[in-house]
Amino acid sequence: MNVKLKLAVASLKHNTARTFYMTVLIAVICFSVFSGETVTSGLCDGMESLKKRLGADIVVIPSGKSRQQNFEEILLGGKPGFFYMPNSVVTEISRLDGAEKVTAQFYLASLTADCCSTELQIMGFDPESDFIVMPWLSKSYAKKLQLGEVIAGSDVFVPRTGIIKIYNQDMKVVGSMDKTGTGLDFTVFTNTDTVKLMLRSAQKLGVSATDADPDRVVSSVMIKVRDGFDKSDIVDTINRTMAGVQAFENRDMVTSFTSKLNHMTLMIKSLVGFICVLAMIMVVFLFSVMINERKNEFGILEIMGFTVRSLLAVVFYELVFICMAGSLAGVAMAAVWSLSFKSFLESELGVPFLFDCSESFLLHACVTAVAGTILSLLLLLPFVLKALRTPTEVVMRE
Amino acid sequence: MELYLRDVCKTYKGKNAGHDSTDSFSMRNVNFDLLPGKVTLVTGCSGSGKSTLLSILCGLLRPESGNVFYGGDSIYDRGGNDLALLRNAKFGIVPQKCLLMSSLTVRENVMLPALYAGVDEKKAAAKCEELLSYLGICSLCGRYPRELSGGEMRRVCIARAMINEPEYIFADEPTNDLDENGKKRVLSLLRESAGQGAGVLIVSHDSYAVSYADIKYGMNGGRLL
Repeated sequence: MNVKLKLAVASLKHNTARTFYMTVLIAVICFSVFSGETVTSGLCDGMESLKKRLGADIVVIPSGKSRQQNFEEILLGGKPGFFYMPNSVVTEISRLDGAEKVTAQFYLASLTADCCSTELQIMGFDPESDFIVMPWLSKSYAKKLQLGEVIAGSDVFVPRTGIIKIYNQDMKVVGSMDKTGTGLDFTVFTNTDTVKLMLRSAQKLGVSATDADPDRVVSSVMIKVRDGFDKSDIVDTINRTMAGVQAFENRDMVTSFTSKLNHMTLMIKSLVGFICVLAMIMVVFLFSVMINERKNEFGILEIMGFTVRSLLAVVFYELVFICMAGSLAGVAMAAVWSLSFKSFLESELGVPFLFDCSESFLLHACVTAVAGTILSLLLLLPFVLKALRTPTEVVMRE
Repeated sequence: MELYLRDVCKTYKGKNAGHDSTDSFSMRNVNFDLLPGKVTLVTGCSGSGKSTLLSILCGLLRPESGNVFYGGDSIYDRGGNDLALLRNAKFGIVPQKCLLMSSLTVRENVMLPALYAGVDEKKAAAKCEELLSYLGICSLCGRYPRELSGGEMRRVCIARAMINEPEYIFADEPTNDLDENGKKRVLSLLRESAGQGAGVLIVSHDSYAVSYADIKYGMNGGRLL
């Protein structure tokens, strides 16, 4: 082994406490940065995914104070729910100038009871008019859904048989969706005929919370606005002229989540920043004390004829070991932490959260570890250079 | 190759009772030749400039005026790296303060300059063994500096200075912390090195060293007498 490397290793081994504390502090910095980054990017990815999936410009749902909240909970929170309005609304909206595409959706919630496999959100769409669900559903299942066929969200438990029971109706799961980080991951998608079949069955079983005629109601109407038309004008027209319904721009819903997301990411970043600054101050303090104590060692080496470049190499090797070990440990701990708390983060943050466990996660981890190593080195090297400027003759006499 | 200094001056900032800075000379126009094959002893009271002379001569302290010549060339005109490598290959330095690498054992400390110079590990180990045996500390070779007494550390420093069989040996108070037997071993080793052609400079106020010296100087107020 190279003499300088040998010296560095001997010094690290000999000063175990010093090595340990420095490594831990650098690990704390990298842990904070990587876990903070994982959470904030998960939130941003979740929001992006939500924006893509919403697809429509305007949403129309039954009027009522809590309806919009119900709708957001179904879409974002994965909380099963339903509401209905007369299907005549669809025809009325289709007649509006500026409504380029109009499609209705039908929501139903299954129960935690013998008649159902589990409590689920069921979302029915009209294959003829749909422009919201079909574009991304086709990635999971390219064929046309038949009566009794469903596509499960990524977090829906599907038994080996591929059959889930909803209101005593056996539903064949023909595909699974990609993860979205939203309530859609806990949703089952099917065509409106199948949802109506489920609702009728629920009504027959006497477990339905509504006696609405499935053929006469819809849950929501999604509108794609024609270019050149003002979305807010159409929203105003609907709210003014149609009774029993409320319209709002999808953007408004995303805006509320965006502000929540911004608030959350700011909080996380501030916390990460605070921890990093604190840990950096401690690293710098510890290192400057340590390097001052080592002026004698540098003096000895200079007396022996070590060049300044060689002295730098010795300290550099030591720092590389410490920074690399600290960075890797920090990033590994953050990765384990993120993976362990993945489901907690997804369900408890209350905003769309998309956790990416793919190669990009690993790549991101590697980049953080390398950046952590390089930045720690840059932070500490000035102290080494300062210590090396102490005249050896002074060290000899001290 | 001959080593000598010419017209060397070195000033230190001194402090008087009034906390004003005043110049205090450590060396004034000193001319000195360190002869190969001879033990040269420089004695003098504390602050007379002995250690400064040694530091300047071995390339650790740049003088304000004058120069140090090795083989006819000024050593301070060399680059920092060249000077360091010259120290490693040609000079052996025993500092006044016993400075050892705390993370290395006695054997590793002694072998370090040789390994840095690129000497084969086996050769370095054999030379190390020989020096430690001569100095009577062979049994300590696996110990760390914190486990050694002052006298033992002193002897380790001397062994380390001689591992590369230097052309010139600079020993600042080499008999400090040593008992009579220790002093005898150390000074005999230095004497023996001079016998093999090395130029040895001993800076000491220990009268015991006088009998081992070929050339004796005194220093007072920065002047060589």
